[in-house]
Amino acid sequence: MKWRFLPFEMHAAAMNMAIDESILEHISEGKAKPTVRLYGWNPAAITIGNFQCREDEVDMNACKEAGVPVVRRITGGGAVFHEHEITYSILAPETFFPKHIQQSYQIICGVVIEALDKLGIAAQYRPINDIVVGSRKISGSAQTRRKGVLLQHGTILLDVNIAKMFSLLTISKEKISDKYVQSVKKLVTSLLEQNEKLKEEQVIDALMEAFSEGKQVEIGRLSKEEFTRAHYIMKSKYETEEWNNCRK
Amino acid sequence: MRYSQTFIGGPIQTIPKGLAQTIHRGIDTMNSCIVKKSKQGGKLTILKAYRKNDKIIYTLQGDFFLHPETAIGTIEKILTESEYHSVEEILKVYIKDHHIQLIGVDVPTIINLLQEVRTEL
Repeated sequence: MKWRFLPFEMHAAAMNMAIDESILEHISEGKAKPTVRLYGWNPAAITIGNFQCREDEVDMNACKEAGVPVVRRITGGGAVFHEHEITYSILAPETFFPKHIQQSYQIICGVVIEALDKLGIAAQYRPINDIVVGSRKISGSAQTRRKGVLLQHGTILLDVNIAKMFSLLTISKEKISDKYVQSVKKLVTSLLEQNEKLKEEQVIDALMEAFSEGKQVEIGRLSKEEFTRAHYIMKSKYETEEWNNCRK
Repeated sequence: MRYSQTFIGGPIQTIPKGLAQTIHRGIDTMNSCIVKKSKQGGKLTILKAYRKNDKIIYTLQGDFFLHPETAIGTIEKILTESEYHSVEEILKVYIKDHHIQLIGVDVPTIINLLQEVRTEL
């Protein structure tokens, strides 16, 4: 079966999440091909996991001041600050992947690891859902399966600003000390830290190449129906307090 | 306000790192509910209990994964509506029979949290 590759685009957080969900629905209905999508975040945003509560995870006043929207995902996992990164989504019938969630994480993360390898960065999969360079995290991902479709989205850090991230997340103020920021820096790395000459386009090309291997791939775009549906989902779900604050 | 009933209270304490079992005792007086936290394999699970119409309602939060996600509603219902002595068994049967995949949290963790909450009710 042919796969569709959606080239890198920047969107607001609510639209990014809505596009993923719209594609999921269209694949479920047989109206879209399995899809790989690369995207960025404009403006920078925070997403929280499906089972998290915004009021517990995020300093909303700081986010408002910084112009950082907060959106709850349909996938599990934790709060993520999306700024200098490339995000991928892979959407396909769940029969394409093992039933066991962790095995499917490993397979999809394996593709990202191949892409990093093409960039000269030796990375490994770290269960449950991380990719690390040495022992430092460079990529995290989250997966859901709905309506017979697997959706996994994940981030690949281009650059990281730990101090800014902590200023937006709910972390005790005493923890946001220089010392604490330095200690967390030892746990996280980024593509630019690994290779400061790396360009965003190179990363996108490497991901496209890795995700295309062994597949018939066509460069595509969202259909008009997918876009319209995404816009509706954005307005009716991801831009609402009801969805974003807490699971009811 | 989401929680309408205030329970007895105390300050929320810092979570010590690396503990596999229940690591947090505290009452979230601001939200008028009992909050218990447990960290396992880097994933945090939070059990909140609050009173509504003389009934204790339990909600599970955290950065764990659950497939399918919709199972969370049934799990919370089991916690809320089952007799305490049978909760663990009912949860295990439900998870097994419906092929629920819990990642970053397990039934013993949830039961431990439930026990912790119940000691303060």
